Amino acid sequence: MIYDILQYDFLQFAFLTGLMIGIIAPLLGVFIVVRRLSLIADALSHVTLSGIALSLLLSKNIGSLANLNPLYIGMGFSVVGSLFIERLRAVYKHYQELAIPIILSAGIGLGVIFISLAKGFTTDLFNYLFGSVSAVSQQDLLIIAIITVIVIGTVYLLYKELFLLSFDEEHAKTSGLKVNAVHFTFIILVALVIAASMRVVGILLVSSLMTLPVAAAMKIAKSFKKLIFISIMFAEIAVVGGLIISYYLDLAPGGSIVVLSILLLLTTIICRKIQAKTAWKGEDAS
Amino acid sequence: MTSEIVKINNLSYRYEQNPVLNHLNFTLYKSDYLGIVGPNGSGKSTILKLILNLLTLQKGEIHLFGESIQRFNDWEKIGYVSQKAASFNSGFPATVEEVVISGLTKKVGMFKAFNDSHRKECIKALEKVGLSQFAKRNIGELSGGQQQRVFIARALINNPELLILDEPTVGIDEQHVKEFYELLNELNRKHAFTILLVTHDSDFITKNATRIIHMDKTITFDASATEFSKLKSKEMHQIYGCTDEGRKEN
Ligand SMILES: Nc1ncnc2c1ncn2[C@@H]1O[C@H](COP(=O)(O)OP(=O)(O)OP(=O)(O)O)[C@@H](O)[C@H]1O
Ligand SMILES: [Mg+2]
Repeated sequence: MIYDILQYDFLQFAFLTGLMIGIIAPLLGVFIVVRRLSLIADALSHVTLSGIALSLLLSKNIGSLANLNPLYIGMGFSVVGSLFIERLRAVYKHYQELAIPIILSAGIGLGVIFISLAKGFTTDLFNYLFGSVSAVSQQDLLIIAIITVIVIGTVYLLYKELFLLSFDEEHAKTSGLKVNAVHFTFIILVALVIAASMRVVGILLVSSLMTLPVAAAMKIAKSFKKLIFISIMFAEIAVVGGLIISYYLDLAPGGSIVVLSILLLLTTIICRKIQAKTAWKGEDAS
Repeated sequence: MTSEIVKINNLSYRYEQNPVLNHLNFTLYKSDYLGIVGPNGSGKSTILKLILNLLTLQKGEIHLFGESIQRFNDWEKIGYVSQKAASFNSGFPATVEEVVISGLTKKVGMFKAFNDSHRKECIKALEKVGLSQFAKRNIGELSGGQQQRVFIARALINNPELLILDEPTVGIDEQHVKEFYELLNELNRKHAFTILLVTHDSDFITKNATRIIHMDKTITFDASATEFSKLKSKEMHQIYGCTDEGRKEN
């Protein structure tokens, strides 16, 4: 495997992208999970899907756009979708989660129209849905590297604001924090990460990379910082392991990454159970 | 006029069609220790939320530290412990220290991280509520009363000039309630903190506050604590109608 990685550019690209996504997806995922916004990632990934489908449609029909990287339009849709979610959340103040199915179905609806217009599925589209070991280009790698720097930098600079907002929104408001601005910045980052992740994990499985490692880490972490570190560790194990398995078994990596994440999650839950039991036993013995 | 910490002028508020506050007027002066009492649903939390700008002003005026609330920006001068604090999402994976230090977010300013001196302030704030040995513990592992004291520490960490508390002692055991009121007394008498406290605990409040407002959608009583306790012992059963204005409103 190591030999192959050194040998083939496309494998290097896939692994480097995987490593970066293994950091930024759970990094934002931590805030998404504790703020109970998990479904927003799902809604945005479906909006991204419609952007990708539009881009593929354009490439097919307009000669000069044949080489357009679908990441751009996908990213654009994702960001615009996040703005719509925020508008809708303001409109339905007491039923904020309504914004999510609205945007999600709009994303799928548009996506299906574009896919039909393009006369069905292409392998390209399949790769975007479920990820691919071989489809990551050098240009993708560069775009994703830029997104990674932006995301890590912003979270580093706004860490205490994001924490305060996540822990206690009301207190964030009373302490004079520009809550809307911070939240808005955060949602844009989420949109970017979703677009960046789809090359490797695939659109349909992006949100699981943001939530599953965090769900597992929650079982262990006592502090918020540790939660972030453990989540990233779990995500990296799943991404690297998933890419290796996919390469050898010729699978779409999205599937193996998610299955590995779920195994990690189950293992931590079982370990915690056993730990709790043995703690009792120790006490009974003494 | 810096000695006027909070000035409320002809304040009215309604949720949708439901009027909750009617023409309120009162001024809180520096180092006042004001207790607000009144039955459930009388609008006490609503006043606090208006003062904290969590609700948008509809009618009337609020001035904070001499500045109208629309232009006021020194929110770190105000510490707030909400009525809901004890019922927060207790599965949240954060340590006591992380929660308390988050109170400094605005003061430290954007783009800067907390450093050791901030952590020292955090320990000091935790000492004030007797929880310094819990700094590294997960907040979900604390009891409800201990959690409430963590939120009080988070409000104290800024050394606010005005402390606003909405039923802060709910769920706290008797011993710690006593200690908590002693802490408020000390902050008020020694360090001249201005305190605005909403509570149902009228025994404690008459013993500790310097001034008491009784309200039910409008102010029905506003005088010193000694005055209030005299009145209370005299006409226990008729407390709610103690002024003419109050009678008319009811
Ligand atoms: N978000 C809201 N939407 C609509 N009505 C509300 C809302 N919050 C409070 N109310 C109503 O406003 C009135 C005053 O509520 P408020 O919370 O200020 O009372 P309170 O004096 O703090 O009561 P308590 O002693 O129970 O805390 C109540 O009748 C309540 O039903
Ligand atoms: Mg209340």
